[in-house]
Amino acid sequence: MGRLDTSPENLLKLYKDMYRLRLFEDIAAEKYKSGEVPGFVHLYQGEEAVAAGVCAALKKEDIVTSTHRGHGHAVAKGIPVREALAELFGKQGGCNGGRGGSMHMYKLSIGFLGTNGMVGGGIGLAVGAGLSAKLLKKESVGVTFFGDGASNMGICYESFNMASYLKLPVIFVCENNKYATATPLTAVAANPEIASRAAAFAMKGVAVDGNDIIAVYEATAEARERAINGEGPTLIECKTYRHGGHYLGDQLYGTYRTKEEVDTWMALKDPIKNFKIILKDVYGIDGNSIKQAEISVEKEMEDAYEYAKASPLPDPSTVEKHLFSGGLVK
Amino acid sequence: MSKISYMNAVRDGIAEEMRRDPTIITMGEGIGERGGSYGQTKNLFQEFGGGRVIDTPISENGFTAMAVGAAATGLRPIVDIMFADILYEILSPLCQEAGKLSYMSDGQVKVPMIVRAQMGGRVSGPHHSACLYAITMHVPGLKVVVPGNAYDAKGLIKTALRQNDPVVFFEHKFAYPVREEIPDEEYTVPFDKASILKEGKDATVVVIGPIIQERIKNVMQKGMIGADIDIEIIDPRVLYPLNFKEIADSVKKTGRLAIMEEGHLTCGAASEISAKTAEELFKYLKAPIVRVATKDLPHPYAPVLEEAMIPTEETIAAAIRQVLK
Repeated sequence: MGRLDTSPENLLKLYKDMYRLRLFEDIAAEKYKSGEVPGFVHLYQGEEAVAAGVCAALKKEDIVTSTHRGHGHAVAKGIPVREALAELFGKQGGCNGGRGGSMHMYKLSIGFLGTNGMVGGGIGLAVGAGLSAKLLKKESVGVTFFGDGASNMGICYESFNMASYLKLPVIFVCENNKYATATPLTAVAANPEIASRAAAFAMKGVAVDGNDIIAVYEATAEARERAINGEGPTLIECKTYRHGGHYLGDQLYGTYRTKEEVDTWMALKDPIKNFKIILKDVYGIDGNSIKQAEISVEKEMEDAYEYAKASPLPDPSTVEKHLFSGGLVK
Repeated sequence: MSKISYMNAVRDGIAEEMRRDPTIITMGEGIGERGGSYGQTKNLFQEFGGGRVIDTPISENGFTAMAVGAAATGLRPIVDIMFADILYEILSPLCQEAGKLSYMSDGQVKVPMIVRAQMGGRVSGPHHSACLYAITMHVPGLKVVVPGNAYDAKGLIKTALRQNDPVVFFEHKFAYPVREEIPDEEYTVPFDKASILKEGKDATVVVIGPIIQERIKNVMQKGMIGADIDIEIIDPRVLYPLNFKEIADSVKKTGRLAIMEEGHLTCGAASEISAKTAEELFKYLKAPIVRVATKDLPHPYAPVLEEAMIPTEETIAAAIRQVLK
């Protein structure tokens, strides 16, 4: 159950999935600094194995909700990078026509129900997606990414309880990057072992190395199978690390973490660097194939930038559009 | 025609729509087999089963968020929060998610859900009495409905259940037992029309909510305003998007406007109607606009104190006399 397909094609795909998220954030940062991204952004570098590993185990019909640090989830679930970048640019060609921006990216047709500006805001929505799947008999799961910060919110436990007593097909993915803005989890949590909290709701909880894409994939694949089989929700705690500050422009270290800590995670625990080594040393994939994979992703980013730059600004005369969906069902 | 209570009118409307549309579900505390704290979901569980009539834990924030996610993915949930005051618990999923999803997703995500909020005082005390519809009027993306009688309650809940947008449906719990004749055959009430309850020529009186409707009827029956006074009474029924056209037409005719509601005065529904009238119809006005609303206070428990802060027959009659000066 939940074993990874270790064909070279699939392994290279996973590598590309992570590399895409990294480069996307690099370009988002660059274009924020150049002024082309007008609003502030919370970047995902360092946590790529979580989004890429989880989404590799999902199907298009599965509904994902995400966080304020959500570009990685959006792109991993399938929002094309050009649409995601154009959204950050506030352009008409963005996935939401510039109405959403970084923390409000949606593409329901591929099962992405949004990044979210409210900490904890997506958790209950994914439970609702699980309820829809169950009542409408769809083979689909609701999946929510949330951080260690949200893990101390009431909505998190209300959601755990409801998903568990209703036996809903839901996967709770906690990205524990150790810090809620600049507050260490260990400083504010009576029990910082988040996965263990699942037991209080008669729910399966597992903790995995969130920087190991294979571990994340396998835990998710197993959770999905349990969900689809009517065995209820799973909490997966992915222990990971945020390379950057809370938002772009925030200090990288300071009162709450040291330069040594950041340097160590980046040198020894980078999910992409480490997976590259595994591809070569464990699976014997040649360096040239990896290079080709990287080049193809770099081309996607160039294309995305050209697309975002060329996309027109939204038409101000449309500002009142879509407040309501309108219409009546028959 | 049959004599049906306001509460059963809403319940019957929901049952009819649930028979018609299998994606409608309802959830709340004790609304299953028991049929709700007031009996407002009586027999729905027995007819539709626990899959569609879901007893929830006391997790209003959580199950409202769940309803938003369910609405976005194919269901049409009704969230029953038992007391309008519980809105304070659910503001984040209601306002930040449900109200904004269509807009911020550029029209991709529809949120067809209803929040049933039971409002109104009468010895319910500070935490269970307020008529909070004005709060939701202030939130872009929510439709706000306040049915003023049993006929409208049934017709409006049926229309609400056919919307593709979030609707906050304010039912007055102290109008729940009030029975009136309503048609046996199916009908709906549109969202985009105010109801002209009585035509008249001397002054326009806008009434919001069933208790105000009842009190103004009493005022007239008791002759508390002169027998020769001929007022026009209008219930907007839907406060957002506000049905203003009928009010405007009436003010153009009468030149006088009094607005009566049970919500709090400051930034209330009456304030909004008053402001729009002053902006758009100033030249028609022969007298200052008059508002009657609940005083800006928590609802006290003791009945004599509560009657001193909500609109009464006396304050309603006084307001009509004032606007006619």
